[in-house]
Amino acid sequence: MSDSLWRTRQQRSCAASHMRPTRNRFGIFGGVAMLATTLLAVNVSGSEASAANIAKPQFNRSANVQSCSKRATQLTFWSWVPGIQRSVNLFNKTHNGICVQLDNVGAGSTELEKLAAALKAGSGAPDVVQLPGIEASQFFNPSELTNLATLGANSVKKGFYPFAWARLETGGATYCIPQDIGPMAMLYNTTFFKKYGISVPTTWTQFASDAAKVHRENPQAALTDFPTNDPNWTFGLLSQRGANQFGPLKGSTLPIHIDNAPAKAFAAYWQPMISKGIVQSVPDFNSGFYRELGDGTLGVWLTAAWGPDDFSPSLAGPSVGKWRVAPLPQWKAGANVSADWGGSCDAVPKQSSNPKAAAAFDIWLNTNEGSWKLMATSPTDLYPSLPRFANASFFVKNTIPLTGNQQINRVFAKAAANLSPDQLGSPIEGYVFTEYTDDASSGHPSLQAVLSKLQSQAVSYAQQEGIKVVS
Amino acid sequence: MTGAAHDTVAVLDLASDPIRRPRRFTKRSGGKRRTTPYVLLAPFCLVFAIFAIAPLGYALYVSLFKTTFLQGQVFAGLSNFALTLESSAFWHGVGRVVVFGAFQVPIMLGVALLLALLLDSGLVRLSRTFQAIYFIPYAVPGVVAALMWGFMYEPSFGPLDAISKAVGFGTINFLGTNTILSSIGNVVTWEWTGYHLIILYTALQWVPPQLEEAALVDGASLWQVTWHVKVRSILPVVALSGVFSVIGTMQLFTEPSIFATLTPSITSSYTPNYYVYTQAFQEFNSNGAAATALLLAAMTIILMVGIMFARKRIGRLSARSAPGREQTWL
Repeated sequence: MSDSLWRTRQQRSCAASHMRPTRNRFGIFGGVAMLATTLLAVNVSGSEASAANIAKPQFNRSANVQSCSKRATQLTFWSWVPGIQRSVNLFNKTHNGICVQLDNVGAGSTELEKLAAALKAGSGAPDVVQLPGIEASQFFNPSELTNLATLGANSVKKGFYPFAWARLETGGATYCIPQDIGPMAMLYNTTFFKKYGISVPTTWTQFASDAAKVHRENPQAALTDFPTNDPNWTFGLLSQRGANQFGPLKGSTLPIHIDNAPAKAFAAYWQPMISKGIVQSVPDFNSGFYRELGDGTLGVWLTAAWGPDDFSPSLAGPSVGKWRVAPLPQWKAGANVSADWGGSCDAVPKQSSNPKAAAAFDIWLNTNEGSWKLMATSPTDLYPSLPRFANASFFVKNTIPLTGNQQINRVFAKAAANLSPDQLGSPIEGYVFTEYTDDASSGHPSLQAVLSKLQSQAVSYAQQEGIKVVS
Repeated sequence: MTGAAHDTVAVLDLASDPIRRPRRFTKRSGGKRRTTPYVLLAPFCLVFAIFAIAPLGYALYVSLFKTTFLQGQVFAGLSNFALTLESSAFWHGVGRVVVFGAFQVPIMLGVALLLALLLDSGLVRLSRTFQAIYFIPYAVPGVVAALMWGFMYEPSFGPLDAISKAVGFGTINFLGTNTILSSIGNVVTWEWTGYHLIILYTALQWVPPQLEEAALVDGASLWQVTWHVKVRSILPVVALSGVFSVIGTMQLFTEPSIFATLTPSITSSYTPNYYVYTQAFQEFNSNGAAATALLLAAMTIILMVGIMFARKRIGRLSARSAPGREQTWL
């Protein structure tokens, strides 16, 4: 029979009219709350497409506060590096006929999405655009970018590191001026090394035994992390071993050799450590990763020249001042081989209506001493792609709190001196990066398996694109 | 889950329901009245054509071409569609959303129904306050919710991990390849249960109290009245919510795209909609992306039509078995 607590709606509404006013107050509160939430709900974000943008590292859009002459040629410049507004301001001040407006539309691949959309749409691309590292090569064709060789690039070519220039030349044309480079070195925590009684490894063999020692003493800690989601980083270290994925594109012929012998040797070195958990395999560049570096779970970050500066804020804590930079461990004792990770270059899209002025700005930005004095300092902290600035005293004397009083740029300069011009990108780099991440995350494949699968995927994709593949 | 799905179903329904189709006005009613409906519909048709039909047409056009690095744009016929249909990764993604929908939708609607019945039963005080509280997750934008849950799921130091360690389960990786689909299901359920709760609760208000009273008089228990009177009356509404949820699940994108930055478990083709995005913006293959998007739309439409057919048949069957009951909704 009917529960005494439970009544039909009619019975309840009858009863309610006899109730105390407090009932109604709750009802009004409930109604207001619902109205508020409904109004909020109307504003529910439908911008799912920008979901990925929000999650990637974002710096605030910087408005150009410089007031330029009205008759000056207006240029737009896309760059995400913090503090580059200072160089832009300096240019505007010293070049009255040109006015450059800086826009930060996102970092790295976020910006590339927008650039690709603008190039496809036929409008909306800026006059000068910063492109990241080896991913830039996807855009190196005459329909999308302007050839800067005849617009002044050839006359400044000599001043740059040979490897930085080599990867930006395709078929005799130069589509991008090198901005910064990312010579790799080993950032290590001296407290961590003291705690586990290991010395700074100079060879990879030593590195492996150090890693094993750390793991034996403390299974929760690891000497370093081998991220499974970062093809850029992995390709950099592969290059140090002599394993580059692509040869130079000649006409429509492209050598692809992702799993050649050096790559197999590289995989054979790292895989046992990954499988046994001696090195971690968590994704990099997220809060968990920084936390582990900061609290002593990880002792080494194999990183590039921009690493210590850019991520000092995330590595704050008691370890500040205790980090040091040493050269990468070597495959051959006594050698001095490094690799490049990241870096960027500046290109002029074909859509630009002022290619000469854009090229002039591009070249000035990357070769002018005043510009580099600003770009090499905080908060921009770029590593120059020109030896004369990388070795200049104003640059090598820099220190940052993270690494105490060590002049870390000297270590990176030694690495930069020997970087190989064989480390190249490819027209299918975006596809390769995406497939690498996919292959590495499905199941727990070995590094060898990932590289082999990537090789066959890259070959078939390149052939679809009309590229002739040679090994 | 987009509003577009709601509009499509409503339009199709109007066309097929014999009771609701507008009557034809004859000339005797006056020439003006015959054109009025079309004049009133014209703005909508124009806007629909510009913002829905035209982009679809352009997507179809784009999907028939290929942009190669060396030869520029070439006509590729249906090869983009073939490539997507042949890709096992794509079908894994489709299977994933189907499995996801098969579990998440019934669980979510079950919870929403249970809460609606509880709030409607009079056993709970402050029912409207609770409704507002349950509705709040829906007011949180999807991106914010996914980010928030992403941090909570964080393996080494998220709060959920701390709780599981304290309870003794050790570290559970909520974002690992085996667990991430359930984790996403949890987030989606958290977001949408309140929304469906409001819909079902409102539907419950329209159950005639006379039915409840009649059942009580006939000696029904609380459970019997709840099930036979209330739930059976609002079953068409539950089904409608289910249809919209299934369509939304087919288009799952926000949560995978946010979690992709936190864990490598989200591959580029994790869900079909996410695959469209990665093809367009990570592989810079807008032609392939257009083809995949059209295939996804076609699959969703087939699914919807299938559901409508099934509902018509079930509706006819139930009408035959309970002749007195009026046919409501679909």
